[in-house]
Amino acid sequence: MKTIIADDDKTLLLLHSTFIKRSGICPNPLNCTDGSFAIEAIKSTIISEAILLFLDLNMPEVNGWEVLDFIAGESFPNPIFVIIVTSSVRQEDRNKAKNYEAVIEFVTKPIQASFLAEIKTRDFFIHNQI
Amino acid sequence: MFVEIHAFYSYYLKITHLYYNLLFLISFDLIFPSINVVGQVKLIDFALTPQDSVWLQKKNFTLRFGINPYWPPIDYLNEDGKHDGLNAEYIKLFSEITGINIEYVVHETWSQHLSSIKNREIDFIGAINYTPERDEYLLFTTSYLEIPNFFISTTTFAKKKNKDLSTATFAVVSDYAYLSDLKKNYPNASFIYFNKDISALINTSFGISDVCVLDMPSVTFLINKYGISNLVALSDANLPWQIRMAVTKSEPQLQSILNRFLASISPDSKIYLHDKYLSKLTLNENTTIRNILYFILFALATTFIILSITFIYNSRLKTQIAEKTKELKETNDRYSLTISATFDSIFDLDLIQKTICFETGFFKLFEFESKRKSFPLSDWKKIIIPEDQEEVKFRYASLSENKIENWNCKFRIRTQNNSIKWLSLNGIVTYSEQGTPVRIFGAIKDISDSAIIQQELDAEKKNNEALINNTSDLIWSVSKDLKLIASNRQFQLAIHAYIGSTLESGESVEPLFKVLPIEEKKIWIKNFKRAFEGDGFKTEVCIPGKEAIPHQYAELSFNPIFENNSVQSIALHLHDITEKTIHLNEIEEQNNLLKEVTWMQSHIVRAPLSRLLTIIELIKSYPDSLRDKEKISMLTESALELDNIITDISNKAESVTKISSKR
Repeated sequence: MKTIIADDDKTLLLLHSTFIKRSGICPNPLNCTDGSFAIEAIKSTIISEAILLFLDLNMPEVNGWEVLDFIAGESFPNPIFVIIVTSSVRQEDRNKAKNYEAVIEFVTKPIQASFLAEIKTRDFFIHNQI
Repeated sequence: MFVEIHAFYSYYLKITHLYYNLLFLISFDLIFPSINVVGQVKLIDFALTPQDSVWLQKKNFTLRFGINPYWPPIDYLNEDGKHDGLNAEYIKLFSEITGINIEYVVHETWSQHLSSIKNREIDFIGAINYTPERDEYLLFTTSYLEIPNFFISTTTFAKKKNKDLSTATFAVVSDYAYLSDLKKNYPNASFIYFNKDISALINTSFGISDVCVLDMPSVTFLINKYGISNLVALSDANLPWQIRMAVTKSEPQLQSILNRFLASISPDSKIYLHDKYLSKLTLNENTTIRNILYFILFALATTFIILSITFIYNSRLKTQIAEKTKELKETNDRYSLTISATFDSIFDLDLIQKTICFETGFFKLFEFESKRKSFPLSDWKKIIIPEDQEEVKFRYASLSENKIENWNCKFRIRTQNNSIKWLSLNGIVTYSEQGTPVRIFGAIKDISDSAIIQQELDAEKKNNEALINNTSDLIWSVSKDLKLIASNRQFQLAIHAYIGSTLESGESVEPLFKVLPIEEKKIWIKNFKRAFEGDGFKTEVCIPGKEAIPHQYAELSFNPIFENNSVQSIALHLHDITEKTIHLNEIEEQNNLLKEVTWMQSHIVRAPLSRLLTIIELIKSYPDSLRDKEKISMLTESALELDNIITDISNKAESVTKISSKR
């Protein structure tokens, strides 16, 4: 499954990338340090397969909410699944995230290996594996 | 020789009437053709030919007709803006009998009228004279009306013994048909050109020109309408109008239709139409003898009317005198009653004889019986209570010093029954030639009741003043014209601090607005407007600082005061909330700092912490995923970042504490 990781914290981006590779979710995830790169990545990969997006909310240029607005405003032939990975512990953000159809999970950093293992067992993941 | 205009016109009408009657007898009674009747008018043998119909089909049975708006009663626009006059009647008849739709085109002047048909902007016109020049671009019908033109002048010009038309100034209308002949007949005359008949006529009436040349129906119509009275007909100009209709040169078919139409109108119908528009202008014949008779009759009638008016006036005058006498008596009675109702007595103080004279009412007031009316001044002074005698003396002394005309004085007296009464004396002072007061005549009123009420009101006022002054708030009221009605001490102190002087009751409060910045001033004016519309409300205002006075925040209440369901004034109450506002701002600032700290905790602190936890999780889950050097580097970097952030939070928390301690 095509996987994109968007986080402005480069160290964390690297760590998450390692996690995702090691967990077997995606051997070569695409790392984006800003929301705008994530949008560009989604635009250029919509043709064939489903996308799993690990999305941080607080990013300096284009934040996670704007990326979600972009996804919600476009129609894609392939599904996009978003897992929000954030430092925010605010309930307000959790509630807001529920308004976006593409969001399947809202997790607080750090990402746990057990969470990624659990993701792999979900239907959406299984059905969209090539 | 000249005659009045109406006499000439009547003569002309008689001739034309006879002419048409003869025609009627000769033609109409001998032949029995087909007859169309439209209203009162008979048309004999008129029908459209196949050629007419073909031509009219091309025109879609619609013709453009030009109206000359200024040739009453022949062809003109009436006051309702509709085509009127003899020609209008012909055109209406023409439209009805042929079924042709007429589109009316109105022109401002005769010249425009001509130019319009010349340029084929219209198809035909209804009242025009033949001239060789016009013949080049127009086709004329036969003449359906002949009217003589007259030289019209003022009576002054007409009475001149040596008047000479050959060198006169003529008022003429531009492009009129007779112009070339007139110029030929009077080569040495001067010509002033006008756009329309009435302009020529008025200018002749004003003496700007000596003579104008106009047809009688027009002149009669215009002098009747405009009331021009100084004009007479000098003589026939021998330049008669032969009125025809005319079409553009390219439309001979229309000329043919119009000619047949005109020929078909029966003679009696023509008389009917001409009478309808021309005879109603005639007045009775005027002859000199008749004029004299009229004058005598008029003089007799006037004398009779004057005598009748004088008689009626005298009778009415007598009645009026009787009425006025009665009214005067009633007024006098009313005056006496009013005096007794308004005042308790009348006094006459003789300052030379040192006596005072009262009307009887005073004795009732003073509660004793006396047949005397006059008393020595010394006796009068005794009844004034000792506490008020100084006041009376002072008032009396002011007479000589200030030469006042209206003297008034309030004091208390002790009555025969030992009760105290408040009296008010108001009098007119008479002075001698040397300026010494010699007499005061006036009225006395017992004001005991009102004096008590006044004392109570004064006490209430003092109480109210004490109440409104016993606050640090500013309280004041303002009338509709933005004048100060009342205010408390704090208001006056504040005003003095701002504008350098206090504000008296009755003075405008507008100088206060001048110390405000434009935006604040607009807000104040808007609030005043809202309150005068009947809305009571509270608002927060910012009062700018001035020199030693700091910036202030205040809560301002606008309370409309109603009288007879309309706002007459506004009571304002300004409560200083500067301290409260400053505290609120501080709290707001603190809150913002606290929010920032919270945000730092949730985001900035959590970033390196998340990283540390992720590294730990990664080491735990996949021990070989990172090299030792990488692990140490990442851990050190995240730990240092965390340390910096904690130091920063500590500093921020310190500033929150400082704000708290400032409070």
